Amino acid sequence: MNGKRNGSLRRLLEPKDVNSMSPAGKMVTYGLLAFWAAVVLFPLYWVLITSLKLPIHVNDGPLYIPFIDFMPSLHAWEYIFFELGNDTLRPYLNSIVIAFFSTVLAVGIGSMAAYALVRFQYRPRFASVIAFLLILAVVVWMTIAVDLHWSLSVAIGLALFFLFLNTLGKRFQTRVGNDDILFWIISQRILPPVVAVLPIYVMFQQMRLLDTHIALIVTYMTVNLPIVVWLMRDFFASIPMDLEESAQIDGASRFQILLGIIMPLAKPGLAATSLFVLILSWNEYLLALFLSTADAQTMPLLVAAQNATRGPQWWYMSVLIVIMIVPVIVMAGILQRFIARGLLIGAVKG
Amino acid sequence: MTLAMRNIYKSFGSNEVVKGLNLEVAEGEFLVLLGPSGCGKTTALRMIAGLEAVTSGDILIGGEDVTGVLPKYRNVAMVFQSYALYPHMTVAENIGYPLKVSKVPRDEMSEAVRETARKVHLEDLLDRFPRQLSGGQRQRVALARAMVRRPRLFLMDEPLSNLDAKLRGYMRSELKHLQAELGVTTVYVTHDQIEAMTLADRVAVMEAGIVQQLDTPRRIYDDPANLFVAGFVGSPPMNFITGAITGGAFECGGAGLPCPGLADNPRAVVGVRPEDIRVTGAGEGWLQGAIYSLELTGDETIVNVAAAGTHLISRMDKDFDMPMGAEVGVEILGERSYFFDAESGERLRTASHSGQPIAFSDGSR
Amino acid sequence: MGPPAGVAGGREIRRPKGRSSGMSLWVDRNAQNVLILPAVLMILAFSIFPLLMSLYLSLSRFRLVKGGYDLRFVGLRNFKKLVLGSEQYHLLGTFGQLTFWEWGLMALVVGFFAHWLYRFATSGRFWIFGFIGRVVTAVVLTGLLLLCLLVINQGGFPGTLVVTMFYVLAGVAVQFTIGLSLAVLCAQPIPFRNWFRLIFFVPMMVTPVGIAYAFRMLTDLSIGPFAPIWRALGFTNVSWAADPWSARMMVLTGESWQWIPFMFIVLLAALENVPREQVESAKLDGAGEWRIFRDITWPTIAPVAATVVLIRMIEAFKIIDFPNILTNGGPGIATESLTLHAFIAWRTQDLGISAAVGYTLLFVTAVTCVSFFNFVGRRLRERTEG
Repeated sequence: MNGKRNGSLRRLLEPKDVNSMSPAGKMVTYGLLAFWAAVVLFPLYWVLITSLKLPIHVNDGPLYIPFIDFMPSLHAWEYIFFELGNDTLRPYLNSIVIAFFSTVLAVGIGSMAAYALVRFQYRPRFASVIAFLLILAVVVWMTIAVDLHWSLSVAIGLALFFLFLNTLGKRFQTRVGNDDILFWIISQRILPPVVAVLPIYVMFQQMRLLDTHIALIVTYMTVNLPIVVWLMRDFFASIPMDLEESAQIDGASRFQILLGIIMPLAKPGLAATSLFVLILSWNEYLLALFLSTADAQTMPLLVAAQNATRGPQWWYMSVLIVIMIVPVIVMAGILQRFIARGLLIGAVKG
Repeated sequence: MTLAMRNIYKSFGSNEVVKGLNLEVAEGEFLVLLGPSGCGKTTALRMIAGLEAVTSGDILIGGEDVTGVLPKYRNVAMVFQSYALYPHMTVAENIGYPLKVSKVPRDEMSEAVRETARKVHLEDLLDRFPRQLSGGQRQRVALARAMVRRPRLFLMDEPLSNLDAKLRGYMRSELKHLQAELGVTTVYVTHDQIEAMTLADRVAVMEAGIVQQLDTPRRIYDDPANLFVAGFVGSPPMNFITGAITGGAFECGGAGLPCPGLADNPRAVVGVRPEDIRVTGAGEGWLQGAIYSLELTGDETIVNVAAAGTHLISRMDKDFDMPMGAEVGVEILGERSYFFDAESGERLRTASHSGQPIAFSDGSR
Repeated sequence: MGPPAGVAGGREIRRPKGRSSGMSLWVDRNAQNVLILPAVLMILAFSIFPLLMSLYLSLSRFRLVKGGYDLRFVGLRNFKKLVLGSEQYHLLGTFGQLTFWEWGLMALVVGFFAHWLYRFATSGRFWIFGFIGRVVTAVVLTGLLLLCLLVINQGGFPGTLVVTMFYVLAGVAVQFTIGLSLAVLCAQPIPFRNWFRLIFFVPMMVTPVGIAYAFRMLTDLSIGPFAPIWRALGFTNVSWAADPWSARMMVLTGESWQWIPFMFIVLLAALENVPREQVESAKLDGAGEWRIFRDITWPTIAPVAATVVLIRMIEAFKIIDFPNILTNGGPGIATESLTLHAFIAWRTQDLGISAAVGYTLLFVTAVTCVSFFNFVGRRLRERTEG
């Protein structure tokens, strides 16, 4: 085009062949990517080396490279693991138990619902749904304002609801469908946890379950259910109906199909969803702040409490942050293998 | 096992896809449901399997009413068009799945799996996964899975349509052989009339949710009940010429064709199979036209002649040699022509041989 | 009826109907309900029921007394206190004077919404709930804009509502821009891109509390890693935490650092799904890189982009960890989000105000997200599909 005069410039700006980039473009791309990699990694690097510093290394201004700028020391690690001992290990164990069980429950129950929404048609009456909510509101009012015992008001509410279903309810014909139910479940995510957590706090207080594992497991599970339903629905919808019908004819029951055919095929989706929910539960802060004080305290609370209890002792804090990050990265590594293998099956099959 | 479908109706919303289906299938019979896509044949099969609920009517398997019974209790086996092999199971696990879910003891199960696999020549592939198999092998796994327990019925939904032409021919004969050997009553759905003609003891030709004709393949071909069956069965398809019947002769474009004994009809159609039409020299024969195209298929030449405002297809032998565009005449052999009412599509018959084949006696077994 | 002769290799399976036990048969028959009920019940018990109870709390005054609590219905008094009364500075902020140009901008916005409503009312698709929804959207968005303008002027100071809006809108915009840029770069055919992909994913896995502390370390002016730079520039006696806007920017940076990976991952997946044939055909037609992106890539990924923006918006409204850890809400209330506001009210045992703030958050979140979904997300989707 421009002839020989601009030859060297063109060599720089135009790609060698159709599948690669021009040298200049490549340089810019690598430059930007490397810059962002530094933005991502530097804070983590700083936390890691801070956990190996003595207080004097931190307070004397920034020292960057271990063994050259300063001698790494394990004193902070020893303090956190041996001197504090149980005060670190208990929240750690709490976090593991709570994150694990809430993830398993959320993925299990959420997958069931997602599968049901893909495979069955639901047609509840719109009026019944509205009536249910109104009656629920009446139950709340009776419990709090009229001061009835909660079991009594729930019983009255149920009686009212069945009365409605069998009388007035039959006269309304408008119905809602699967998409409405799905939207309703997913829209729960819009609900800010701070709105729900006050009554949940009172409920668990009444049941004497505050500051226990169960309270946090159940709450995290509910909060994460919408995500599971939303993600798993697409995976289930992509499994051919033929397989399921074939299994039905082969004599399998619904639950044999779900466990023997559907779940194994949705493994990549389950792995990805579990990882996502696990990260959310592991890192959750607000609900734990409300619902746990001492016995069920989780790691984010422990980390957050550091500053309050003893000022900016960055070295101890860094150790806690590092031990919080490592298990998640390990989990991601393990599940990554699963995800890759699952995708391979999908690719060959399709 | 026998199968009976009595007065079956099926609608999806306001869309009625099966309208009053009545079928009786005898023990060990191979019945083919043949029809274009959307004619309700697959829905009918799925209702037999229990995958769709009937809107009204009864289904009986072996005399037992199974209309409302779940698929898992019907004890029928089905081969899907996509084969529906479980991708996460090996061939052996796939074949053994029906036995596994009914809790057959392990050793008995592996024995049955091996025996069935041998029948369909899969014994060397038992440890493979479906994704490592060729199309034909997958097809045989699906067959084996259907055969492994002794089902009361085999149901097959276009099982050969995903295979290439050569393999399809081979699997067709294999299927026929296995069915005869096992003696299990089979209902087979296809839109491919060659499959229907070669496999079936009887064929039910369906269109728009209604069985148009239920008969042996030979009679479906030689004695079509109406315009639809006549046009659907046969390749290349039957030629149709529209005209009128007056005084025992079919008239169109000035030429007449004798049809003794038929009542006068102002709008009638005559149908002639390509093998019953001969292309002759210009000026000879019944109609005059020009050659539109020629296709040499190897053992014969398909000649397309533009005549009487339409295209007529003729099957000539492979030595037929005339240039495209040449003026020719068209001659119809013997009495092998079929007359239909253009409005209703019904076959027009003389009083003497109504319900009888025209040229052949009943050749079914 | 008898077993067909000549069968070899088959096994007769007798499956009498009565053999499976009653329980498992019942479960199988009712699978439809058994599968979905646990999820529905959990959500009813721990989402819908608390939501209703919270509504009641927001309309009452809560006080702890010996051996229990005292709850009194006070009507809208909590909301009145927040919007008009002694808590107004906290939720809405302190108002300044609008300039002439800002009045002009408001008039333009009102005019735009009026035109929009008029067009909908006269179009053939008019239906009453659609109209009410649009009126709510128009009123709430106009009100929020007016509030923003009022509090950022001379003499004004933003309350938690405006600060939260700032985190959501600015945060999501930054995250989307950087996430999309990184995704485009990583979708290029260059070596090592899988490594970059793995590295870029990491921040999402780090606990927000940890990130907040890490950022406090990094931004420390005397002992942080950038201290020499600050010293060279002469910033020794200032603190970013003392200035409202720099403190808010810190919160925004921390939040963005954590959530850019989410945008990145989803948008990268969308980019890789762009049909190759379309891109190749455009190349043959002589389109340049930018044209290909605008005409082919963007329309394909737009629905996904709308979805991730929506998801991030929903989540961003709930922000609490960063302001609480990084700045403790300060200076003053400068970085306080609505959730943090509600939490602080709860800690001072003012449950009524806490619930009322929570409900304000729910209302703003719902209107913003539903409006975005209906008027932006759905339109993008329809355009690609139609």
